[in-house]
Amino acid sequence: MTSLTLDIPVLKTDRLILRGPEARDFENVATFFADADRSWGFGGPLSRNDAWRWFASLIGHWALHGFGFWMVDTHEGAPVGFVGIWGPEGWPEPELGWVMYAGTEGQGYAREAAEEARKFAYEVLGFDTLSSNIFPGNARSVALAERMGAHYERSYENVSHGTEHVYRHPGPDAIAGGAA
Amino acid sequence: MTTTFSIPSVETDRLFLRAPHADDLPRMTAFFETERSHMVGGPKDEIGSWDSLVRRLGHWALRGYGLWHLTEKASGDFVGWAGMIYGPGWHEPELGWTVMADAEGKGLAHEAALAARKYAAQHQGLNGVMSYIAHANDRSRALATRLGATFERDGELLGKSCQIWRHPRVEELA
Repeated sequence: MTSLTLDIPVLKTDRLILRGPEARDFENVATFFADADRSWGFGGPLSRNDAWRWFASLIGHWALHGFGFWMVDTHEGAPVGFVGIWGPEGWPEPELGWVMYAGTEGQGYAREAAEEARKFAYEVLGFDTLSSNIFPGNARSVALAERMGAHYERSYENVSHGTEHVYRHPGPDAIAGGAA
Repeated sequence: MTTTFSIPSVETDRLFLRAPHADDLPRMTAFFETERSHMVGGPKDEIGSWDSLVRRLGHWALRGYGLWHLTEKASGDFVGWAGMIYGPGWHEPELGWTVMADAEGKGLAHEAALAARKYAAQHQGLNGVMSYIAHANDRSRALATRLGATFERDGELLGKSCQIWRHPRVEELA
């Protein structure tokens, strides 16, 4: 019986590196979850202990599913947030999600990283569709979803978060054809 | 370029100690729905069991050690787990073990705990470790005694009162 080894691919965009989570990322994740104003649309706020549990889940999700959240840095190594594909037990389907840390917004980083993750889902993972679940009232996230070509599809009850709005992204053909 | 982490495997006479995997979820869920799980963090529903499964994997990445899942060689069944746990709220890394009801009475928990304790001392920098034991968990206390551990003090874990048992250092064992 062999050991389990997890290889998380690293993706590179013009300005950003998407890479696997490491122990050193925990402080930034905990800081994000401690901030209710920033994290309410992502199931926060969470205590430091709960943030640790969530971060461990984030890593384990990769091992279980072969996809998950990447930590996003600039090419210079400055952390800006995390984006990826998240499909825990009870979710209606894996979703494309994004979080930007305080002070990193307004530069298009979230879109750049999320589009790279979406491309990976279509081209490497073979997804034929992708959605994002957004809390009602999270205007910033809705604006990004719409900039990425996603449209409101329906509302549903998330097992952990209550009512959420599903935004449907353009499919692989539309992305490959440059329609989005 | 990729980022990686590894979970080693350990083989004993009758067990493989190996990484948790997705196929384990139904048996974990069944276990965490039982009364038996109350002494080790349960009960949990399927979503809670999934959370535990992925957290166990992430724990390995964050700490460099964690819980192995146990496969009984003879049957191929997933029969429990053992290893070192250091979650938030733990005051130091803990040697933990659980064997499911249908695999009990064969000494498998003893075999797994011995292997995990030895591996922790030799490869994970954890020696002379402790175990939290719920007051009502007589079975676990009996196993701790059989492993050479001794009662150290009463303690608390995640708001629940429990006992802290201290294991002998591995090189001190005959």
